[in-house]
Amino acid sequence: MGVKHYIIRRLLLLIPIFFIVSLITFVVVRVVPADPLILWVGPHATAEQINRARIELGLDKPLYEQYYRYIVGIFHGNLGISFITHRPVSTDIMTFLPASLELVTTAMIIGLVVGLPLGVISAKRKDKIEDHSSRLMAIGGVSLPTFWIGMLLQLLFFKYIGILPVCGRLSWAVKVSYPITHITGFYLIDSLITGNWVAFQDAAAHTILPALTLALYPIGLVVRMTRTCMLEVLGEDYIRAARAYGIPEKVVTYTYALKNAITPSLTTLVLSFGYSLTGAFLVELIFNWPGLGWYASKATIGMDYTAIVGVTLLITLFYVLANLVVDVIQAYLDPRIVLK
Amino acid sequence: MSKKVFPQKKAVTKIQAVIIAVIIVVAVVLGWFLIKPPAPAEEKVGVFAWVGSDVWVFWDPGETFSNEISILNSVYEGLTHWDSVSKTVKPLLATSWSVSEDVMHWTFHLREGVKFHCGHKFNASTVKYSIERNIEGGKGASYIWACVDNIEILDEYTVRFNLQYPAPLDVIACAGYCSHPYCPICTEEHGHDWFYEGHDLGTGPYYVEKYDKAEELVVLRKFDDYWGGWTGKEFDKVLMYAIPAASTVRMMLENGEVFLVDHLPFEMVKDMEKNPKIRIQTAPSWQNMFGLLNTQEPSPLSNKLLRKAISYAVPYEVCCSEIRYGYATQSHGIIPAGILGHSDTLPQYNYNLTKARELLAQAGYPDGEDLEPLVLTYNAGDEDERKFAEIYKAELAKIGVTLDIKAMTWTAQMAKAAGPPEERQDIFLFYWWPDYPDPYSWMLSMFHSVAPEDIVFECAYYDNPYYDDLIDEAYKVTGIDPAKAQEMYEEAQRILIEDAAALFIYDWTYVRPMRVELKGYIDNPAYPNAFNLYDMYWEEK
Amino acid sequence: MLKCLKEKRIAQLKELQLALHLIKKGPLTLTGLIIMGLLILVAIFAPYIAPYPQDALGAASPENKFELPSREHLFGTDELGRDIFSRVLFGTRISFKIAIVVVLLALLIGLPLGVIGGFLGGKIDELIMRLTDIFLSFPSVLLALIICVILGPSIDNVMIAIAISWWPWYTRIAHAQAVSIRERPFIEAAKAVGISKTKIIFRHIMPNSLTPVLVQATMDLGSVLLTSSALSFLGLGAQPPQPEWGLMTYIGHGYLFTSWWCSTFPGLAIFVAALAFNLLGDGLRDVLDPRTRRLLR
Repeated sequence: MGVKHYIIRRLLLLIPIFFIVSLITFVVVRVVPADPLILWVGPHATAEQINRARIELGLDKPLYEQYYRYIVGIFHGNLGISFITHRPVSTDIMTFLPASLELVTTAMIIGLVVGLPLGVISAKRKDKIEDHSSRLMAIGGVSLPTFWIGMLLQLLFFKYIGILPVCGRLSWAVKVSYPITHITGFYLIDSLITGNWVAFQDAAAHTILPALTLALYPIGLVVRMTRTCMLEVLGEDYIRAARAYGIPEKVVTYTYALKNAITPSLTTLVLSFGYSLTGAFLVELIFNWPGLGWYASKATIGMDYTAIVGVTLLITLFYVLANLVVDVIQAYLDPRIVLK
Repeated sequence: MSKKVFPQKKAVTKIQAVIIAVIIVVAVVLGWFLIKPPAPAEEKVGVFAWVGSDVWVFWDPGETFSNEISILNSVYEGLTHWDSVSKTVKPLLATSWSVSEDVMHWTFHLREGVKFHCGHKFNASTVKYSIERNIEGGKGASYIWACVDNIEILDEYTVRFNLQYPAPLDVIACAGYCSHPYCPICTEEHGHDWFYEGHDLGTGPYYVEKYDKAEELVVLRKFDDYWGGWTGKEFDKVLMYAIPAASTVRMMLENGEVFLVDHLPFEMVKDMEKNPKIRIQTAPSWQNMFGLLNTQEPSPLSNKLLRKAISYAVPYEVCCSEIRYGYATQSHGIIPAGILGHSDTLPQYNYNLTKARELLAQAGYPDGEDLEPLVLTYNAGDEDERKFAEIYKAELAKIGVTLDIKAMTWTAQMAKAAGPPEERQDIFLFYWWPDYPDPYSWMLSMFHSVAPEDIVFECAYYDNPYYDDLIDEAYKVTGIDPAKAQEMYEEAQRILIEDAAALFIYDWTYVRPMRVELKGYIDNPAYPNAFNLYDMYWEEK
Repeated sequence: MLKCLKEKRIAQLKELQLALHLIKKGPLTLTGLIIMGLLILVAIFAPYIAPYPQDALGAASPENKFELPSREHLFGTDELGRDIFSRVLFGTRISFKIAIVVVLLALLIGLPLGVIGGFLGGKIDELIMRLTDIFLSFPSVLLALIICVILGPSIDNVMIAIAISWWPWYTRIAHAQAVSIRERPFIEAAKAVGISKTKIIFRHIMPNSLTPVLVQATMDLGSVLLTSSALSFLGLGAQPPQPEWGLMTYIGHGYLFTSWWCSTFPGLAIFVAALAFNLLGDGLRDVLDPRTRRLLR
């Protein structure tokens, strides 16, 4: 009962947050002299055409009226039309979001799978060579400029070894001959459940490099968190008790200690999910991954304000929801936390 | 005892997990190697690529204005067509036309037996409908019809355009944008948004079968009832890819997955010259790069001598050879070769720093003293423009002039140029190409005087009533007396050059990398970057 | 009184000893320190070390473009024939400037807000913290991106943009710290004596909540460097011909498959500098974090 109440209250809080975030973004983006109309009308438009479009789109109205219209539109599920693509922003988001989600999820999974063992080893062999090298890897991972490492991977695997595609989500030949049926929007899953092996193979090959590049940061994050938590947990009484009972060290480490040390890592990952959606834009740019970050950065550079506000709202939603999920899970796992 | 407190129930599941994992790995590996790519289909498929994204934006034939003509020019057809070899207007959907003495009435006789892709008949009323809809919509390049007062249907296959002022309508009708008749019945039925889902209503040899925005992919198929007929050599199906990464396109071209690409970076082109499978085809273009100089106060460039001085500091040859790897020629005035108004006899500024220094001193800034930094804006992300800016900065530094380079987004660059005079740039790097085969748009769009609130591309802020009259008059006589028009455009350009209203940098040469087996591709500068799909075919040696 | 001072001195010495001990135990921190020292030297002496200083200051000789790394040009030449090695050396200055200025700016906004809110409590605190929350729920990269586009591309604007999206973190930390200090006896005493609130905030609360904020700030230097180079990579930061690493990597990216050296070396420089910052920050945190300290003893 209490939890339900809590969740509803937090969700209601979304409404004012949405208002404020959209208002700030809207005002900030709209007060700029840069005029997205120039994109809307085409390359050689005349002054008359620009003015005509301005009236048509209601951009000649005072700012508060434009904002009011925008908000009314949102309640009708209309996020406006993008100035660059000339398509509804909601359609664009539905086109580009799944690609980002797929990439970020894959990267997070890689982050966990690689980061957890490294973190555990680091903690177990504290101040030994394994610790230093895994810490170096972790710190190195967060110090790497993603665009740079992405480029190096492209050089290595595309130019010199020549086994992986340089960018994109799918080969064009596959797009034509083996089109993927859109079910979830995740190419890897869609191609698998429809038994489209050629497409799966191709999609997987395209995902490896960007996912790996994007995973470097989560890996570093997870290694650091796991190491700190493991060090703490391994000093606790119940672990000492378990050891005293003669439980094999492996079981103590991986079953009892890790279980308690894993939560903070998971929490951080979930929390960073919303950010990663846009944070991934550099990786998406380098690998021409048609995702949300790619879309958002193009929109920002073109001052395509409908697209910018739309994406910002979406990311805020993800962020708030992720926070909520984390809070609820933590409360569930740790009875000491009371949600109020 | 202890075992009961800490039961090791994980042991079994661990083995299970390992087995499952092994099975999955084996399945994936087997799948990877056993499944082979498919055998190619029977029909003749042409595959073309465009390096970039958001290529096909405007789909309504009344709104087209941009790179969508790369394919839409094979889907839609105009009344007339510009022939780049003879440099004349040739019939297309109109078989012949005539013009009245005062160039105010143009009569077009239309081709009979032409069908739209939806099956409806093409005739005079469809021409009237499409062009009136374009004018009413006021979008895209529809302004090209601004001279039209009304359209009369004389009989089913004859149509007359009555103009508000004299204009070369046969040339205007050649335009690659917003000039194409389309089916009125289906347009009324489906509406504007329907086009944007990837549909068409043209008369051309190919129709749009599929457009996938997410995959940046267009599929065209040959229109069996095309009035021009089919020889059997042409492609049955055409795939157009928009691929953002040049390196991917290059690989696909070298593997034969793509037949022709609109452009590739010059370093890659140079690299590929050795490949016997690749042909690099070049052609002159009507696209050129120039730097508009701010001729108004408070810009220091309002001083004509200073404008001349910095015109002598551009290393024109280096720009052509190093920025475009020789695929460019120094401009003669603003109008490129191959179009009315161009002349090789027009004077050029050359690279001469001694002269530049002299003029600088005459302008009142010996060795650049007391001269504030000049601000140059360019479109961020344009490599050619950036290279020019940096090379130019280094040259200007030699004569004591400081150049402040500002890479701006397109929207911001335009907003700054149209802002209050004290905030405007001094040099505006820019490209132009005509919307129809006529020089007027260069002369008008950049250099005609204009009210401050109407500034769009007039970023030289040039104000010369004599020049204005000259080009307006030239435009009017183009339809009946091209020789006179040529003379007037030449004089107008001499004025611009003498006033140094712009840095006339270079005219592009198109560079198209393609497979040697691909035949029939011709660059027509009147339709920049449009692929003439109907003429192309594949021929193995 | 004297005894008190002496104790303090002893405590300080112990701290120092501990720090030295930790540095000895962790060679990584030491490595970070050494790299950092070298980079600072490079930044100071760039004009004297660089073989072609004019190439970093706007010269161009396009006829020497795309030369492979050689003895004359250690990192090769770029698309305008400039010596990449010299440009990378000069870039150190820009990068250090950005990292330090951004963090200082963010501290300047974040620290006072957090401390004032934490100390005063009540409505003002509520307002400040809600504002912080809103800023935190914005996608920070997108925010910096938008600000950059609005202000126009330049290094100064990149610094402002990042600082604006960065300060809330410091506000949070300073706030928590101020709240805990607020209840300490010496603050109560100061209040009782009648010292003004402003004085208490700036004399007592601020210095005492500084340490954790500063640790965080050091650790952030690396991230700031990466963020700024990312913005430059998008063409929203440094303007050509400035030898900014992110911009150089971005431009070189266009020639990646024909001339790999153009983007590889500037990117490497970003990595090395960020690594040094992060190694140092990580070590510093270990030194000052009571939890790890307890474990070490």
